[in-house]
Order: sequence, then structure tokens, then C-alpha cells
Amino acid sequence: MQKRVLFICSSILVLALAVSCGGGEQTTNLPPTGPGVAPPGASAPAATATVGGKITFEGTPPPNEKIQMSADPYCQQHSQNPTLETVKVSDGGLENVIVYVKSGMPNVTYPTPTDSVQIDQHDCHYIPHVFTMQTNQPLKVKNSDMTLHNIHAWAEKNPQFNVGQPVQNMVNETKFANEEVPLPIRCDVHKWMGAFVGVFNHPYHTVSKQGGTWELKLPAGNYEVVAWHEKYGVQTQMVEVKDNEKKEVTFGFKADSKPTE
Amino acid sequence: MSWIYNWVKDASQVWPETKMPSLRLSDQEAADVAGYLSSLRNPDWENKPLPEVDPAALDDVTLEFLRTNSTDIEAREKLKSMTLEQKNLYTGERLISQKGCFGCHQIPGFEKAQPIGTELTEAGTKLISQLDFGFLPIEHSRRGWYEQKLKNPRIFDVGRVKRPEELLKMPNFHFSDKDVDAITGVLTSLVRDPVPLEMRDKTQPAIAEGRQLIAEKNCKGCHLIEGAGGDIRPTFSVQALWPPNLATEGFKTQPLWLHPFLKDPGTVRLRPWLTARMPTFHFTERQAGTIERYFSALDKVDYPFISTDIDTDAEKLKVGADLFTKMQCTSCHPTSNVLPPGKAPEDLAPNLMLASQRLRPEWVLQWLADPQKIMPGTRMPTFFPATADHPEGQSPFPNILGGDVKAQIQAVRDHLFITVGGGRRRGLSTTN
Ligand code: HEC
Ligand code: HEC
Ligand code: HEC
Repeated sequence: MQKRVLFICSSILVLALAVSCGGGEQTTNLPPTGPGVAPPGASAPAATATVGGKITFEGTPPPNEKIQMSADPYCQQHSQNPTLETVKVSDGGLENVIVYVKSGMPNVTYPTPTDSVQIDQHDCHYIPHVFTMQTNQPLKVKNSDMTLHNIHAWAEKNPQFNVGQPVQNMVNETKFANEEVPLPIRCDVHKWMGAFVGVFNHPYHTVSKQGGTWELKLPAGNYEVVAWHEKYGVQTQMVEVKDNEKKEVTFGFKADSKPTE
Repeated sequence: MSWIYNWVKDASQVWPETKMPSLRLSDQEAADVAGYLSSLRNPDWENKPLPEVDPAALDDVTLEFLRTNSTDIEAREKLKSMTLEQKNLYTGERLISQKGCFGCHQIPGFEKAQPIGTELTEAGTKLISQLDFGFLPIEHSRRGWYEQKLKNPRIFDVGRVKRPEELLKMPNFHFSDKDVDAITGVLTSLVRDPVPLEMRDKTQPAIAEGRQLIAEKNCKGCHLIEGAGGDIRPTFSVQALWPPNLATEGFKTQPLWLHPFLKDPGTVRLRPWLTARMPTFHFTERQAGTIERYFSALDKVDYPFISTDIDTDAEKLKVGADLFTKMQCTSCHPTSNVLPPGKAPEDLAPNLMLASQRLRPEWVLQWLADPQKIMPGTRMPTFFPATADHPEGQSPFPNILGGDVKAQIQAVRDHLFITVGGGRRRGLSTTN
């Protein structure tokens, strides 16, 4: 299960990179543009700077709630000692944190990635549990289970998406037209199943993975970077980077800290 | 305490005209609520002393009233013979009569009293010369006068010399400018029979009348109606516990189901998991009809005569049963009154055994096609999502009925109505 999370998250990251780099190539002949001054139709400058780090976690992670699956024998058979995935800590770092640029990015319209992002329903869990994507990017929803799931995006800024998937391995596709962070996804048949997606109208977003590490490729600029976690809420930091520069930004959450925002 | 108990148990037993509905509380529940309510106290307010009566002022007012139907000398004599309590009672009764409190309140002894206000039936054609503008420097138009009257009802007395009982009596309701504008609009439109009866659109009055009753009973405190309301929602932790959204209620329900439900909601347990209760409003036939006509007028559907017979055949019913099983509808919907093992009540959806007696067959077709369109946010999923290639929806079973979405939905509906619910097939049975 862990491997899948990694795979999906890194593919999103690659996608984000591809988009911003692709956009950058076209702009190399243009005069440098700062935030908010780009002419309409312009694309973002090349993302040559790297911002990244570790989301540290202090204290003993609270145990994740156990799940009672007896309502669906299929789920019960396919999950050993199932729990929620609210707090996932590895090597002292917090996973499943959405890290994204909130302000400071070039004010341009970013091309919509055509590659799709995927969420799978597998052994009555969502894989990945937390992911990010761009507005209007295709989202493929797969049901790997031989039981009915309904995937229900409890959106507030987008129309709600709620589709029943009664056939094993069937795939439906959807997309979200508006930015929404976080957008909760739930299954109304199996109420323990929950996931979160961050939908952005730019490519500067990712999810912390093994060891709580994350990395964003950005054009030179001064950014407000936000880290969001489903239990611990939001933290914000400012970071300024030049072209080709690499900067470390560390966020830290504590086991007993109260959620913010 | 026992008064509160009786009141919350069934207020209509205490006061038949009350707007307070019955929530069908058990004796214990009513006792708990009464206990809680009587624990809410405000000592500051309770200990406030009654204001002292000023005997001289009371004499003045009493005399003024006595004078209206006797000579000054008789009045003064009468006053002398009255005790303080008699003066109080007499003046109070006269004040209630003069101020018209009985227009809003039920007060013993005033059952037959005429309301004190001016008749408004033809306010839109009232002659300007009948409106008293006093000394106010305002435009002499009907609209101008009504606006002024609503904003400051007694201003026309300014500069006038009048006896106390002649002064204007309408209270100031502190309307906003927007309210004043809206009410003036209504007043100036009140004319005798503007449109011949047979030419009037009957849906508009049905909607207006329904809205009024719904506002009066505060149905929107619990329900989303015409897209607004649901004030109670934040008190529940999960959406499953919200009272139902009444979007498309007219199109959705059969008149023969809705009528008895409104009159006695306690007999139906549609969503047994809900902790909120649909109150018993003790509706009269007429009031229940008002609400039913309102819902059907909103949705522009036939009322009260509809057919619920289903045009289907054995082949379609077989396909419907197959789809119903394959789509695993019962993973949310029970088809018996037993809670499925491992499920909490709030995980459930309505019992589909009731569908054939409760729902209009055409509504079920639209519901199955796209539940979000009818009730945004509902837990009920679509099984036929629209895609770029299939704007009419795509079935997860492309090999059944050639993947025809409409035909599949119809087959599921037919199965629900005939096989699950025991409804009637068109042309088959006419025994009823
Ligand atoms: C326009 C309608 C209206 C008129 C006229 C009116 N009232 Fe009321 N009265 C109400 C309403 C409505 C309430 C309920 C509480 C509230 O909404 O303020 C009320 C509440 C009261 C109460 C408190 C009752 C309780 O048990 O809580 C008293 C006493 C009362 N009115 C006396 C009078 C008297 C005396 C007059 C005449 C001088 C009068 N009212 C005129 C509408 C009216
Ligand atoms: C205290 C909250 C509350 C109030 C106030 C209330 N209702 Fe309800 N109502 C409910 C609940 C809860 C249900 C669901 C009952 C069930 O499914 O078992 C319901 C169900 C209904 C239904 C059936 C919905 C369906 O699924 O077809 C109708 C119609 C309805 N109410 C109309 C009204 C009207 C009209 C009023 C005002 C006169 C009103 N309600 C006031 C709580 C309320
Ligand atoms: C994920 C759970 C879920 C699944 C699966 C599901 N439903 Fe529903 N359904 C609901 C909920 C919740 C409602 C109640 C909506 C409301 O009134 O708020 C509902 C309402 C209905 C109603 C209206 C019932 C009434 O009396 O108001 C019908 C009919 C219905 N569903 C049919 C079906 C059929 C047929 C299927 C299978 C193809 C199905 N449902 C699958 C959750 C589900």
C-alpha cells in the first residue's frame, strides 16, 4: 500500500515539473516577469529553483482509529486490522501533508495537464489517501474491489461528484474546475473510507511522503508556502529563491498541537 | 413545571389554536425537556419589582375614559366611588379595547370586538382626498402617503390638537426601507377584482398561500425548501442526520402518500435513523391541502389525480431485478425493517419497500439518472455518470439492454415498484 502512495505522489510531482518546465521553455526569450505583471496569455518562467524539506513530527503519534468492517464481508476479508490513516509518521516526519504555494507565483494561466491523476479504491481504502492535482486535470477513479463503492467528492466550490461503482476494476473519470483545498472524498457505503485532494490552478503543489519529505520546483520569486494536514491544520512560511537556487524549508507539527484554521 | 410538561407534550391540548406542533415526545422525554426549561432562570429579571401605581395619573386616565360615555359630573362621581383595583381593571380593559390588542391576541371578553384598523381591501384605489396628510410637506400621492404611514405611523398627528383617544394608534413596526417599499407595492395593488376569476393563474396563489403557511410553521427551520432553510443542520455531526431536503417534493411524492403523512407523520418511519422528528402540526384538511397544492404547483405536476400504474413486462422485470442486485442498491437501502448487521442507522438510506406507495414513477427515473441534480450533496450516487462521449450518462453494464441508460433505469424502477413494492402493472389488474 505504501508503495502505491509513493508512486502516485511522485508521478504528480513529475507532472508538475513537466508542466512548469514545459511552460518555461517558451518564455526564455521574453523579458523577466515578476509576480502579477505578466501580460495576458503569457506562461510562467522556468521553474529552476528548488524548495523542499522535511515536515518534522514531535512526540508520539496518536494511534489511528480502528475500523469495524463487519458490515461488508468483502472489506473484512481483505483488510487485516484496518485503521484510519489520519496521522502517518515515518522517520520522524509527517506524511500526507499537502504543501503548496499560496501566493507569490507568476500571475499567468497555467496549461492544464493532460495526464490523469488516479485514485483507487483497494481493499476498502483510498489509495492515495492524500493527493493534489490541477484544475480541469483528469482524475481517474478506479474500484479495484469486488464490492460496491460510491466515490463522493464533498466539494463546496465545485459541483459534487458522487458515482456508484458496482463493477470490479471499473474506472470513471472526472475533473474539478475550481480551486479547492482541501476537498474531502468519502464513500457513503463504507463510512470509514476518506481521502483528501488539493485542487490548484497552478502546478506548485505536492504531498509529503516517506520521512515527511517534499520538494517543489519554482521559478525565482518570493513565495508564501502553506502546509496543510487533515488533523493538525495549516502552517505557513515565506521563502525567497533565485534561479537555480535550492532552499530548505522546515515545517514542524507536534503530537499534541491543536489544529489551526 | 407541570404547565411546561403539558405544553411540550402536546400544546394543542392546552391551547387548540397554537402554532406549536407536537413532537410526539414520550412522557420521559417531555419531563426531561420541562425539567431543563424550568432550570433556565433569570433572577435579575424575576426580582424586578412592579412599578408603583401613580394614583393621580391613574385618576386622569380613568376620568378620560369615564367621560366618553357620561357627563363630566357623572364621571367624577363615578371615579370617587371606585377603588384603586377597580380603576386599574376598568382602565386596562378600555386600553386593550382602544389599542386593539385583541387584533393579535386572544383575550376573553373581546371575542366579538371589531379590529381597530382601517380596511385595506381596496387600498390601491382609495381616493387621495380620503388620506389625511396632516401638515406634512410630502407629495400628495397614494404611494407617498403609504410609505410615510409605514415608516412613522403616527407622524400625521404632528401639529394637530386631538383628545388622547383620537390620536393615531398604529404601532411603529420599525420596517426597513426595503420592507416599506415591498408593502407599499402590495397596498397600491389592492384593487377590487383586477382580473376576472376564470382568467387567473391558479398556481401563483397556490404557491403564495403555501409559502405563507410554511413560513408560519417554520418548516424551513428543519427543511431545505426552494433551496433555502435547514437552520437545524449545524447541530448534527453528520449529514445523514439532517431532516430531508424537500426539493421536488411535489414531483416526488404521491398525493395519497403525502396527505396522510402531513396529517400524522408519526405513523411513517421512512428514515428510522433520524433523531430529528417531523412534528405533528395538527393540520386541518384545508391546511394539508394548501401544502400539497403548493408542492405540486412549484413542480408543475398534476394534483391530486395521478396514475402510478407501471407499463412493463416480465422480461423487463427480470432485467431490473438483475441490475438491482448487480448495482448493490441494498448496501445502503434496507428492504426490510431489520437493521443490517454491522451497520449504524445513520449509514442507511430509505427503505425501498415503501417506494411504490410513496413515490411518483416518473420522479424515480430522474432520481436514478442524477440524484445530485435533484438534491445537491445527497449520499445517493448516480450509477450513470455523464461523460464527454455519453452526455446522457453511461452504464457500468454495457452488455445489459445494449447499455441503453434509459432502458436500464426504467427496468430498475419497474423492479422497485412491481417486485419490491407490490405496485400495479398497467392493464394487468384492475381490482382496487
Ligand atoms: C401586531 C400584533 C400585536 C399587537 C397589536 C399586540 N401584541 Fe402583544 N404580542 C404580540 C406578539 C407576536 C407577542 C409574542 C412575543 C413577541 O413576539 O414579542 C406578544 C406578546 C405579548 C405579551 C407577552 C405574552 C407572553 O406570555 O409571553 C403580552 C403580555 C402582550 N403581548 C400584551 C399585549 C397588549 C396589552 C397589547 C395591546 C396594548 C398587545 N400585546 C398588542 C403581538 C401583538
Ligand atoms: C423539527 C424539524 C422539522 C420541522 C419543523 C418540519 N419537519 Fe418535515 N420532516 C422532518 C423530518 C426529520 C422528516 C423525515 C421523516 C422520516 O423520513 O422519517 C421530515 C419529513 C417531511 C416530509 C417528507 C419528505 C420526503 O422524504 O418525502 C415532508 C413533505 C415534510 N417533512 C414537510 C414538512 C412541512 C410542510 C413542515 C412545516 C409545516 C415541516 N415538514 C416541518 C423534520 C421537520
Ligand atoms: C451510497 C448509498 C446509496 C446507494 C448505493 C443507493 N442509494 Fe438510493 N438513496 C440513498 C440515500 C441517502 C437516499 C435518500 C436521499 C434523501 O432523501 O436525502 C436515497 C434515496 C433513494 C430513493 C428515494 C427513496 C424515498 O423513498 O425517498 C430511491 C428510489 C433510491 N434511492 C433508489 C436507489 C436504487 C435503485 C439504488 C441502486 C441502483 C440506490 N438507490 C443506491 C443512498 C444510496
